[in-house]
Amino acid sequence: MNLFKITFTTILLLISSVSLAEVSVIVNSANTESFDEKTIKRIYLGKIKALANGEKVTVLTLTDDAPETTQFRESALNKSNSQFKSYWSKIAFTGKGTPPTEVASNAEMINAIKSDPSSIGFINSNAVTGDVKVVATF
Amino acid sequence: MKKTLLASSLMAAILSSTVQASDIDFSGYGSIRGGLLVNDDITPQYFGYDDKVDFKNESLFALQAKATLNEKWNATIVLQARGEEDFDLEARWAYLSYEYSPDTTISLGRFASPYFRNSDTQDIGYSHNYSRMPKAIYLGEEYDIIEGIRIMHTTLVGDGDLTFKGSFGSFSGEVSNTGFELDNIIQASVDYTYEWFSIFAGVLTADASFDNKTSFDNGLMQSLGGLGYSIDNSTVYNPANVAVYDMQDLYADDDRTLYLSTGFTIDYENWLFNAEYATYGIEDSFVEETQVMYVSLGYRFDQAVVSFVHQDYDTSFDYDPANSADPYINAFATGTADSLFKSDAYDAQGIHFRYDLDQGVALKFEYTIINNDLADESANLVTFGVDFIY
Repeated sequence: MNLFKITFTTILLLISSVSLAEVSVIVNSANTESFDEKTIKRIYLGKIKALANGEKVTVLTLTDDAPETTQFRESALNKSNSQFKSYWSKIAFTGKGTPPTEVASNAEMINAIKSDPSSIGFINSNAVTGDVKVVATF
Repeated sequence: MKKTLLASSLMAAILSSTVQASDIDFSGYGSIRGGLLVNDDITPQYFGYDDKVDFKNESLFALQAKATLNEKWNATIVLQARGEEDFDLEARWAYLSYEYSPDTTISLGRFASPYFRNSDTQDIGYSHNYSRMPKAIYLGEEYDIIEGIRIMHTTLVGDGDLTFKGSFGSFSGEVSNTGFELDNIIQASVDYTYEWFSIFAGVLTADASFDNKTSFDNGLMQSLGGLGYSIDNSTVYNPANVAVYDMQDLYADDDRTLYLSTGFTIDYENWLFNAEYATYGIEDSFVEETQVMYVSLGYRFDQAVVSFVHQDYDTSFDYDPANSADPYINAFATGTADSLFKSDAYDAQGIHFRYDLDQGVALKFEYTIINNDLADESANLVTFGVDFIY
């Protein structure tokens, strides 16, 4: 019975931690532009290639197998991982654009955003630090 | 030779010492596809399979190397090995791009010729939900590349994106072992995409020349040479040595060809609707007009997509080149037209499955019934395979 309880609680915790994980879209703290959901979507689908100030935007993503990536693509882009990859294969292999650059972890994402004023990325909201600016959450 | 030179110089540009290795992105796509006809009253043209299972015909591997030279310039080469070509490596695409602005890109080199909406992505099986793109439109002809210049411009219209594409260039190569040239290819298309739907319209014109004079001449001599007919410098003489026909009427030599295409796509709440229609032909030839279309309705489940596809291929041709006073010549010209085009028209209905097995890997399956309009006979085709990107 005790074992059952522990197992049950563990499963419940696992489920809730996965489904409740919030993803924050982050930019360089010097970036003063506003990013609504539509703009974020258009940036990640390669339809906007430059920020309002004319600077080319560096688009970053966590790896395909990160739960944050799946969550971000589902909620912000309304696409599953495979839909996202199919979509980008059409663009990347026809000279129309370059897919978002992968970074390996939340920490690396923060470093990359910190060092590039025209970059955008997303991380687990729990990992957000004062080094970056959150512009949206999903 | 020209393409080898172009490809190798771009390769050299990509690999040159001024470009750091970190500036080159490698990616790629591929397909392993098999298929066979399971019930074949007829062996339909263009579908590429017969009653023996074949894994080679439509399998392919491609590697893309994209070198960023600086902020504005990049060089891309796509090396592709197709089963159809015994997996010989070819520089499928090789181009230099200049980003004039974030919305406008100019490319120079060799790239896919956008006859139809998805011409430039038809080889990337992973990019679509079909086992293979509907053959009525996507024949996979060898002349679907262009060497020239392309401009692409995207702009926001309302809440949607309007993309304009224009190309100018030429093609020279072989089609069915016959020399074929397209000169002065001019192409323009517009695509408008809003959240859940997109529409497309495109036009392409070119001057087509087929190096098939010898085969037409030989055909005539084989059928009528025994009766005393002869050909001299494309003029046909009857047994009494009277000029009765000008073979130029059969040749395709700098004849204008025109492609028009349109299509729209809906992707709404997991329902997928896709339609494309195109018409094309070569002026002053037998084929007045080829009309092709497909419509498909699909539904997206969690990891799978199922689609029903109806496609139709119709060729209208005339016997205008059979204009000689000599009945034998006319019989030959009529027979040539019939043998080349009459049996072509068909319609087909099929079901396609896509199953996303893993990151970047999709399994595909297709069952299609092809009905030949003229013979009123059908063939059932099965194809299956794995499409991947990396």
